[in-house]
Amino acid sequence: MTETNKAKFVCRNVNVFYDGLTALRDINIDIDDHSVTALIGPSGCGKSTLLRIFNRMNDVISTAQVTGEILMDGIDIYAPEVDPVLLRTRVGMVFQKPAPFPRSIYENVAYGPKLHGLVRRKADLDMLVERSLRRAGLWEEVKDRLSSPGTSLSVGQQQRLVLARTLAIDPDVILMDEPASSLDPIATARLEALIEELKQRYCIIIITHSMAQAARISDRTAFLHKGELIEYDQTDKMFTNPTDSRTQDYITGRFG
Amino acid sequence: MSGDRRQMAQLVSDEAMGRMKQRRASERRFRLYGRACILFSILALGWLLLSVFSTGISAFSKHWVKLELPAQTAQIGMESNRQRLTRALAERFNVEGGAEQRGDLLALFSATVATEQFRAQSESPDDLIRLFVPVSSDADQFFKGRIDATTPETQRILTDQQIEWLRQMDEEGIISRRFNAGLFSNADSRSPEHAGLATAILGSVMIVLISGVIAIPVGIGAAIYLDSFAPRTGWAGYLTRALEVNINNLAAVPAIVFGLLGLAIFINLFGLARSIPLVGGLVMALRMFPTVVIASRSALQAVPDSLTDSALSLGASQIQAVFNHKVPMATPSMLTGAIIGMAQALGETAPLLMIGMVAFVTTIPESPMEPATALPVQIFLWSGSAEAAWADVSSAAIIVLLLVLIMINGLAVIVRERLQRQRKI
Repeated sequence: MTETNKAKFVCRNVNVFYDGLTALRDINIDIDDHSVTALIGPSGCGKSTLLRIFNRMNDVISTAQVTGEILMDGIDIYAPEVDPVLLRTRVGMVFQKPAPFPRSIYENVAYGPKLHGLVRRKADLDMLVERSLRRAGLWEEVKDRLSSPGTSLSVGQQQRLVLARTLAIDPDVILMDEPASSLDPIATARLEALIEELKQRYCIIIITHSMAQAARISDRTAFLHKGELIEYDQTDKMFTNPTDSRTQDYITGRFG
Repeated sequence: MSGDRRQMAQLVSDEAMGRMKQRRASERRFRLYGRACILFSILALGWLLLSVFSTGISAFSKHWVKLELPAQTAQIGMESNRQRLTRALAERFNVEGGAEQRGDLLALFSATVATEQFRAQSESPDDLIRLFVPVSSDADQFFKGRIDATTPETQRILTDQQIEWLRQMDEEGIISRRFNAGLFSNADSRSPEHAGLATAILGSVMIVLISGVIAIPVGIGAAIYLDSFAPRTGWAGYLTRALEVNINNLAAVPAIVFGLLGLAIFINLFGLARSIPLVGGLVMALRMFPTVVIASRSALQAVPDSLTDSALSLGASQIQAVFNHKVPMATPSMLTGAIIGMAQALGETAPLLMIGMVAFVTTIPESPMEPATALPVQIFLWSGSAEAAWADVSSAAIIVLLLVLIMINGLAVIVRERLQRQRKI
């Protein structure tokens, strides 16, 4: 845990307050690159708040206040000279409920690259859209109807579409907030296989309520409870031999 | 059914069956109340439309008379055209009586129009002068069956002799009923058969356009700012919230107060003229503004945050997220709000009274800087006049106003449907 040179994110003494109420207390966590980190814990424990720290989506909530140090590749992302808009081009996010834009499938994926002027020519954009959809495992299903609305897809396909949309801006990190919560087991299995594949290239942080999912896909797991980081370790160790009794209770389903 | 119920009785307790009966009964009662309410509103609306249409529809047509007068009536001394017309008419109807009877005869026709036509043709070599003139409003009322010939002469506006003449003309077949185009092309007039809505329609159109052009962009802009950009914390946050509350209050301010405001600011302070559509439009813009802001805000709030959040997470700036996703989604509802505001501006009367748009205007305005009236004010003016024919024209004006409102609301529906269909792609 102390190998900071390898870590993508380093959090030191991070506190988050909403309107004066403490949402996160003294969080110290290092997150590895090219790996999957799972955040688990009961509802309201601060998982989402912690996740939203990494792409500064907490800035959107005007009452939120963040203190402490959060370094990404050694750079303080809350420093005044860091523009959250640019940070978010490096740190993509997939939300709990897929929210495709009410536009065509193609436009959904092309939105990010167009926004940032990543490509100049139409042919390049076509290629980028195809590559992103392929990486998200959606290309085969939608290649013949790229102009139909993104909202016409099934929820599982929509979730992969928003993933493709995120991949299209080529971030380093992908944050996922319960991406499988509205998916059926088959779509979930597809998504998990995809995450397995994506971690070769990206740093992935995922929130999940499914212990089994955390155990299956993550390399490291962090357990949060009442705004505090209770335990953070290798997933294997967390699920077989947790140090803290609260982790033990939560994982075995005795509370939460 | 009864078999099912007996089986149900075996499944649940008697108390549960009893409670269920009560629940069903209350549901039935509520349905009944609901239907009664709907029936009441339909009846009220039907009654309103029926009464307006039954009086108003007759004003869309009026009676004209075709007269052929001998042209040999040479000018005697300093006789005016009107006097010559009177003399020719007296000859035509074999009137032997004096000036009073001749005056009664002339009063059956629209004297101004008749004199004008008479003058134009009296120089021509033809031996006949052909007049085609509207009958006077009293005579028109007679032909429309509004004047009962059996009532005593002293209690009606037409004398026995006048009714005799009208019947004679009717038998001769020279009376015809025609569409009253003057209702749309004429300006206001002292006599109901000439009074038209041209000034009022133009005035209303200018007021609605001016107020729309000002209030819609400003209102929608304010709503977008308040919704997505205004500060939410600290002192500025308090200010934002106070502003929002006050915009809501503004919508509840009685309309006449806006009229007073307009009088004080636009007329007294800026020195603009009274009863001009420009001032009317400015006042209506003030009236519309809170409506547009409130409708647009609720339209923006109805857009799920997940859309803007998604855009932000893709690295869109706040303004890109709002204008690329939130605003397009909210546009149909925002436009509906804007059109409702315009309908409001069209129907509002009180503020216009305060800024002098109740004047008697007989000219048709060519710019927003010339005096005009507006449709609702015109109805207000006409309905206060005594003659029976005014009731007809004011009802006709109400019909015109209602039709314009229906058109505006229909436009709102079409715009919304079309935009929503586009958005789905």
